Amino acid sequence: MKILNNVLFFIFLFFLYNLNVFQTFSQDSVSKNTIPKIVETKSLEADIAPENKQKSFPWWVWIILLFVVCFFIGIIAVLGGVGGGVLFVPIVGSFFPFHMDFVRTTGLLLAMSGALSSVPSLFRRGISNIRASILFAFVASVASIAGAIVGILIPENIVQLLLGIIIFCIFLIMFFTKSSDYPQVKKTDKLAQIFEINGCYFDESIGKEVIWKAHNTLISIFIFLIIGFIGGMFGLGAGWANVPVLNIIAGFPLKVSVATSSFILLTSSSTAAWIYINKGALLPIIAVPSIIGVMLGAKLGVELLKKVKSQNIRKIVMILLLIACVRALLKAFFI
Amino acid sequence: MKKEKSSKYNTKRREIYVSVFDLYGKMAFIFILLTFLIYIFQIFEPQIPPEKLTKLWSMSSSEFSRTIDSNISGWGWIKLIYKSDYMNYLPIIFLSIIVVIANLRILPFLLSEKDYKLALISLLQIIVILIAASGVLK
Repeated sequence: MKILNNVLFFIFLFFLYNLNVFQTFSQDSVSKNTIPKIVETKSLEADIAPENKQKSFPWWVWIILLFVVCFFIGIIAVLGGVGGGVLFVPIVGSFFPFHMDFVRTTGLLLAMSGALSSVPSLFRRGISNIRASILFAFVASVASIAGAIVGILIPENIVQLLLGIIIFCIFLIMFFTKSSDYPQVKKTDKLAQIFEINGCYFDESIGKEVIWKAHNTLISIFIFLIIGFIGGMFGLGAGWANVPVLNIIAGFPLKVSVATSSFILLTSSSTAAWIYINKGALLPIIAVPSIIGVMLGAKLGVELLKKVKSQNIRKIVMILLLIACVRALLKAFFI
Repeated sequence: MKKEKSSKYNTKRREIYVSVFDLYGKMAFIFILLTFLIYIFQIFEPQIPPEKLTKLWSMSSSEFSRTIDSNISGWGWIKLIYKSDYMNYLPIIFLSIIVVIANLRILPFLLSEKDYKLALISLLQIIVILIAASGVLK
């Protein structure tokens, strides 16, 4: 399995390296400043000055590369237990020539699609908590709107700079947090009582019923406001943060946290995505191959999950996040 | 035995959500794939052919909109729905509205169960998404 992990890692690094080269090449040939205003789309080719008609990679090469990268992101996101958005936005935003507006919209659509495909099975298994899902999803979605509005207003280099910092923070969260399968909650709080945030489920791994209750609900709501804002601002979704908050802060069992997180992610991402779509930041040619790639990769990831040690993959995710973080910071300073 | 155990925890609320997300989610993905194939094989004429996009996708959304000289912000893309690229918007929009459909389905059930707190949040959620979707927040 160690060999598989290493192979997977080097394949991914190979792609990242190549993409970086491609991007430099593409940026040289098609500079943003040299693109003239095109009045009629049909005459696009005619309107582009001859000096700009240098050789660039055909569109389908980019789309195939995007699909392949997203396929690997899908595998690694499942194996590493993080949402696809948190890997997609920094990696594609840093190594592909697409503007961050389009990347963030796609990141949110990815997060939404991934959550949408997992929510039915998680709900069927009866693990998720509907009451907490609805409450926290509402809080996160309101904040995600604010995040998206702010995110779309700030210049791309500032977005890249902040993204680099946020990705580094996510790296630190992944490095330092230790989840607990069954957190001990001695006393539930008033808000959790009002919203009846508690429950029971049958845990197949231990063969018995688990009864649980929540605490720190107000603190959790506050943190979900921040997570929603960041998720909306950078198009990251929020899978990277939902689970630690529900598990460590609110005291949900790990499986309940994962199941509840998907619903929150689905709702907050779909809300924030509207802000970007309404700004015209949706390019189907970027969004669709990414969604399909990640979803197919995630399906393979679920199969590999039985064979691969998640701790090793988690390390790969952290290394990828660090690489993407450095690249985003460099891009912020036009390097 | 396992089936009995899992069904014990499957409340009516879960069933409502599962039915909506499962059915509409699958429908959305099939339509996404279909409209994308129509676009890349240019079965219908696109507003912007894929080969032209390499010159445009590094622009910001507002710059992009100005360059193609089409107001696609808000719901402006509706006017271009017959173009194969903007046809792709439909299933993506549908994907983004599934949460509203799910909440609309669960709301009457919550009210019938007199779970007013959750019904209120569910209603507010619908309103928030519809406001975001309306394009008034800019």
